[in-house]
Amino acid sequence: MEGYNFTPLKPAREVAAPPGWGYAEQFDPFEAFLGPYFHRLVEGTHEFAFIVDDRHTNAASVAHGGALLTFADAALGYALWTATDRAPCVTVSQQSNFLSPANVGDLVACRPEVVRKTREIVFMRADFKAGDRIIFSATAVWKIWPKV
Amino acid sequence: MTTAAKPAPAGYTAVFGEAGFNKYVGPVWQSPDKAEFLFDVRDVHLNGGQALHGGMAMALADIVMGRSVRDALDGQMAMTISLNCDLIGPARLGDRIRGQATITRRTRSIAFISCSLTVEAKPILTATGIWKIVGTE
Repeated sequence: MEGYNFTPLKPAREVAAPPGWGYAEQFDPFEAFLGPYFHRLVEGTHEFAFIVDDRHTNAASVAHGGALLTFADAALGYALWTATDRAPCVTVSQQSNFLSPANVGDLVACRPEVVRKTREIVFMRADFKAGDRIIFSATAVWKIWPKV
Repeated sequence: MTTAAKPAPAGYTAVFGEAGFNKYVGPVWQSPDKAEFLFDVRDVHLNGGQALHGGMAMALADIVMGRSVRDALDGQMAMTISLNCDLIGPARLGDRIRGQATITRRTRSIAFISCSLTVEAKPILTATGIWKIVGTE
């Protein structure tokens, strides 16, 4: 799609990737602003993560809802791109639950799942964990522009 | 290129703007009567398609609703436990987004709230949320 950025951006901050993780390519300025985000393949399944730092906190010094909402949107977007060979797409709706706080230094990781994909609409979901603790979950509806 | 934040409208104050996420992505301005929120879209807030990133739009809804819940309490803390956002239309670089929130119901421990974000009266996002009120007996 015209005007869409396919050149990876440099994250606003250098953060070392945790052992076993690599860097997820970032194409959206706002994701690079909050990034880096991390990626790994576990038995053929894509996982994504980020480390909570002082750019991501709220007044209670835990991860701000906005940082989690944005990472969730990004992770679901990665999953959609994997399932559609990088089709241009937008978030239509996201339902998010905040189950437990994430602290500075936590690695927040998820394994997004495409639940159903039609020609133009994709249903997705993901649970987000800090270690073994579930902190956040999301379902989302995305719209894709089918390739002609 | 970084577009600078526009100056605050007279009498408006930044929401939780001292540190962390709100300082980093903001400011989000709140009117003196607490009913209106303003946010200017800068280049760092965009997605790869040159529109406001969905994550930032949802974050803004969270900030508008969170502040509005706190404004309705008597000093207690509150935290988001559930947030449903519909992303209705795009916002672009330089747009000034207006946010408004309405508390639907407040119990001792829970607040139900809805929110709309608009650009020049055109809706870009609607949301409903549930906040847990903490610090109450």
